[in-house]
Amino acid sequence: MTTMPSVEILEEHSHRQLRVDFSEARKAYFHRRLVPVVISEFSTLMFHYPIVLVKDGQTGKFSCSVLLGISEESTLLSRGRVDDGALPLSIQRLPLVAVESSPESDPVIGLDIDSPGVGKGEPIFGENATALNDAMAALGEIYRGREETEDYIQNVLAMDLVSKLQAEVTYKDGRKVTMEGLYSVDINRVARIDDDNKRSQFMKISRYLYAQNFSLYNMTRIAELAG
Amino acid sequence: MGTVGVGEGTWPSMRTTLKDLGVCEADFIRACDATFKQGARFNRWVDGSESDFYYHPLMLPAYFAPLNSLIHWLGCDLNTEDLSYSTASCYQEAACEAGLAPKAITTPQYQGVLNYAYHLDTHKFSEFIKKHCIETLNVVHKVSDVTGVRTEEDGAISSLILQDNTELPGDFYIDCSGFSGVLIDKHFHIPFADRSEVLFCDRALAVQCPYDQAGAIASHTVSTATGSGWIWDIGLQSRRGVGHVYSSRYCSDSDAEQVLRRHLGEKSRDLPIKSIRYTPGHRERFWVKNCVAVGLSAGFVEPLEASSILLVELSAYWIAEKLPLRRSELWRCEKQFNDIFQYRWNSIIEFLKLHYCLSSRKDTPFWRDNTSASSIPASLIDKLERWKEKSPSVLDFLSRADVFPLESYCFVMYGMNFKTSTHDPGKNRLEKIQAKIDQYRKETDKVLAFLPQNRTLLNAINEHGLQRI
Ligand SMILES: Cc1cc2nc3c(=O)[nH]c(=O)nc-3n(C[C@H](O)[C@H](O)[C@H](O)COP(=O)(O)OP(=O)(O)OC[C@H]3O[C@@H](n4cnc5c(N)ncnc54)[C@H](O)[C@@H]3O)c2cc1C
Repeated sequence: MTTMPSVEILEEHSHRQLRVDFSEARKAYFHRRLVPVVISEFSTLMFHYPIVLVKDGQTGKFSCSVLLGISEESTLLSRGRVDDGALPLSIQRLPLVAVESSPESDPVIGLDIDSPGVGKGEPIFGENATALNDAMAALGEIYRGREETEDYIQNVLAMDLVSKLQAEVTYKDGRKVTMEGLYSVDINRVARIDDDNKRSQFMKISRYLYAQNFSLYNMTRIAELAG
Repeated sequence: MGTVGVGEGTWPSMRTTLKDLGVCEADFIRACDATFKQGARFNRWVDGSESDFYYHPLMLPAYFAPLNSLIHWLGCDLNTEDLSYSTASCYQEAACEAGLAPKAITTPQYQGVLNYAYHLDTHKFSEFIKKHCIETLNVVHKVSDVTGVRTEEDGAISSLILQDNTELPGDFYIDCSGFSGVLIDKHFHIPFADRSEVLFCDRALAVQCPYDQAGAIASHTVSTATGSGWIWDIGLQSRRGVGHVYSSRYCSDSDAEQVLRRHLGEKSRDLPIKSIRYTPGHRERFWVKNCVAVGLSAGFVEPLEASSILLVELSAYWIAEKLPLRRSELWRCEKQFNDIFQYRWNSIIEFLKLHYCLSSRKDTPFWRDNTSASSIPASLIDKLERWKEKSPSVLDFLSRADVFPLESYCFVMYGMNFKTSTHDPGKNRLEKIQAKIDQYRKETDKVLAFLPQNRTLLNAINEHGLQRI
């Protein structure tokens, strides 16, 4: 989340008149195939989406995401298969964005004025106070969770628990699509951990590991999108 | 005493070697100025003209049809674009021509979308490996000159005498002392098999050349034939390594230098040149009692197919795998190792000679003599006679000790316009081949669109590293 041309710093004074429809704004992400997540939300997300690891195309670095669909045309969210209470934080925070001015200082809250929800609905600083607070809370949790999520990824990589996800979906017409570039954790490899350091490292992150492993049951929900 | 300090091209086997040693690929790339190598482009080897080139890529060719039928297709009217064997059957050539890397930043370390080896800075590489061996693999490293040898009754080495007059006892010795052959030559006096009647080159001039700007890095070795040898051109991250390998029988040192300087252009005028002399060939035996020669002490022939470091890897693997528990069993290794590596040297020499003897160049005595039957090993003449009548087959390559497989022979032979008699498989079959080749070329475009420029990827690896999976 870096400053983009269409982002304005949110200020009560200048945005007093601004209207925002938060639920409309969230829909902007319903057609994304992957949405980034932090580990603090694994315990809710695990019941609804597969939590996967994906690589960044520019750096090759892993990050955590939920998988929403096989392609952007049809996703769990665009097909209404998940209710609003289970949206990832990266969607809950929309149309807010964190704006980082320098690496030393904390980011400030910005607003994506190109978002489809902006200019509609209720005034942002009036009737909408709860919705605004919720979006701000989501943004804060993402920001605070970045580092621990990064640590989690480093740990699972160091413990050699990451494995490639072999996912092939068959459409009604018989067409097969292999989903490339998805990774997850392989809980079976935990048995191979033989050094004490790694074992205590494992204990620290085990609940996230098991949550991520459990979340893979939702691959069947993704496959159902093909039906 | 320094190392020989040249040798920058490797084989894909280097990936396995580094991985097995526990090296992280990104660390290696950063520390050794390394780049990706996807094969070699041979310029002016076929007829010597400006536009003459062919590729020996590292990827296996795609299978469209039995070789006979494919070769027939290449020579028939359906091949309207006059595709060469390598262009039609292997998209690595197109990747090299476009300066693309063999993988992306998301590809795990040591894996490739296309097969690859490395180009590396040999000084930096030897330092890197030394550090890894000492710090990670706990190898005890003692630096001293070997000045003599003490032996046991049966002639086996019992200890090395060092410069400071101390002795270093051991059970087993690997002579990796380069051209000086401290144990295999100076102590055991194993005769050297001079192979200069087959491979004429016996000298090299090497130069390190800065890039004009941080532009494209070739992801293949360029080998350009000259009047009496050939010039290698290897792109590392920070510089190029260029060298002229030539035959002193056909070319004076000053002429060879002129050819090299002309190749490099005006900017090379003041660059220092390193000169190396060698006799092409190898020891008659490599393993004697409790000592084995590995690397240049075992032998050296021109680096046309980067086979020297490969032989080091093959030898190291062999020794690690086969070294017996009991010293009394060493004699079995001695026999087996000598037989296998004798075979390997012969097969390398034969394959290198193939690059020369198929040429239609007649412009200098060097090229004329290279095609004279008296300079070609009988085994190669025999194969070529066979393959004139019928295309080569895997059944011609049944030895596991073969260094160059059928596919490598095909790339060179058909790249050099070797003529094999073929029977016409019929219009129907030829059209099927045509369709397969068309389809393959469509896939090629997809793969190439996915691959980054070589330098772009190397920069990204330097900054972000590569994932293990
Ligand atoms: C012109 C040229 C180009 C080449 N290009 C390639 C290529 O593209 N690809 C490839 O695979 N290979 C190539 N090679 C070969 C490659 O350089 C060698 O395989 C590689 O460097 C390994 O050499 P080595 O370790 O056997 O010998 P060296 O690198 O010469 O090392 C010998 C070592 O032995 C030590 N030593 C010598 N005498 C004593 C003594 N008495 N006591 C103690 N130590 C001693 C030296 O100090 C040195 O450290 C090329 C070689 C040449 C000459």
